[in-house]
Parts: sequence; structure tokens; C-alpha cells
Amino acid sequence: MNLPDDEVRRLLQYLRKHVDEPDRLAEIEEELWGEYADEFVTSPAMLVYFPLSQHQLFIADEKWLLQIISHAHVRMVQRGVKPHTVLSLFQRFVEYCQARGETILKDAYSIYDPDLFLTLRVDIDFVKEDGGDSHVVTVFFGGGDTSRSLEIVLT
Amino acid sequence: MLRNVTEVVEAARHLTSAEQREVIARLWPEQPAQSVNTTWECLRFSEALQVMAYAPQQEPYVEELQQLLQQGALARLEHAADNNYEVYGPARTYYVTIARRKEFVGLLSSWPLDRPPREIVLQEEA
Repeated sequence: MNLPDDEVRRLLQYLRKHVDEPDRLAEIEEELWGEYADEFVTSPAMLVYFPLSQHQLFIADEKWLLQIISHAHVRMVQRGVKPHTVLSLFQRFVEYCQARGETILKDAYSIYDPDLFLTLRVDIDFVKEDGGDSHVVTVFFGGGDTSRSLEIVLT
Repeated sequence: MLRNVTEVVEAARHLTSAEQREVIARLWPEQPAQSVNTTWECLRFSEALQVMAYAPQQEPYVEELQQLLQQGALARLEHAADNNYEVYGPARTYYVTIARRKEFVGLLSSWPLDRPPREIVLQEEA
């Protein structure tokens, strides 16, 4: 499946700053405009240019360490999602749970913002550190509203 | 029998969407192995399949996912443009991105069948 033009342009704009070899860049550009770009964009050959990044957040005296994995990084560049949007969405999730007295568990969560049409999927872990405990959150992206996916038609 | 069915239906009402999907996936008959619709389908790959953990903590589950997909497994398409699926194993569900042409699967997350992701919808307060 081809990628939308605006997504290819965003990816190429990023890659021009991160791929040193012109020949390699030309190969990637050809793949991104190609028929199988949807598969290529999250292949290991592509992810190598989108390193994992870590972001610290302090919310109500609790420390959260967000790990944006390479797969999420490439999706963010592709869709034009900025890191502050991801951090802000996660902060709203923590505040949402706190306001309702819900404990955030060492578990998987799917956080959907219908206004942004963005689903953040996160795996939450818990680690001991010298300076106190912190939560490690692995961030990846999901596919939006899944409420209709219970519908099943047997053929 | 009727009472049992009523109890099951009544219990299912209290499950979240994610929990209902976990139950439906395990009730699914093994046959037909052919695709059933565009959202739920049976996936099966050849011996050439490659599975890679895209999150470091998923490394321990790579081998069992590879075996599962080579035997054939029920999957739910979560996002067509992103090729994201949930793949349902006997005791664990895997969240993956799939490149069918290259027989490649990137494992993003997984959970035991009784602990599906909690789904939170954030909306601005009016």
C-alpha cells in the first residue's frame, strides 16, 4: 500500500538530516514512494534511523520515564506528531486516573484522544532506583477507536 | 443450559471491550482456517517467518509468537494503514506490526489473556 504524499514528505524531510549517504537516501526515497511503503516504513532497515528516546516527567511528585521506541518514533515523524503532544497526552492520562482515584498498575493501557484521533498504547513497568522508585513507560501507537471491532460476520 | 447461557451473557455485559475481545478470540472455532472477514482473520506464515521484538521487554516472547504464527492463529486487524494486529495465542495476546510480503512481524507488546490493556478515552471536560 502506498503512503499518503504528506507522510512521505515528512519522513524524507527527517531522513535528509539523518542519512549521510546519498545513495542510501535515494534507495529509501524510492521505497517510500513505492507500492509496499506501508511495510517498508516500519522495517528494521528504516527503524535504524529512528532511535529510541527517553523523556522524564514529574507528575504530582511521581517520576515517569517515557521510552519512545523506534517504531513509535517513525510513526510520530510520519504523522507529524510532536514529542510534547505524546508527553501531554500521557500527563492527561495520569491526571485522569488520579482525579478518579484509580491506581495506575504495572499493565498495558490504550489511551485514546478522539479530538487528536490519536491512540497511545503504553506498557507500564516499575523500577527501583537509588533516588526512589520510578515508572518506566514504553510508548507505541495504536489504531484509534476500536469499539466497532467486536462486530463479527462469519462467512 | 439456558441458565448457563444467560449467566455467560450477563457476565459478558460487565466486561470491557478489550476483555470481550479476549473471550471471543478463545471461543472461536479452529475451523474454518480461511479468512472470516476484514477485521478478524486467521494468519499463518511459512518457516521463513521472522519475528523481532520491537520493545526490549518483549524478547522472551519472540519464539512462542513465531511458533504460533507458523501453526496459524486468530488475529484482529487493529489499524489497516499501520498493519497492526492483535494475535491471540492460547495463553497470551500479542500486539504486532506485520509485513506480509516479507513474512516479517515486529512484536510491540503482549499480555496474559486475563490482563488485556485498559482502554481509556480522554475527552476535554465541557
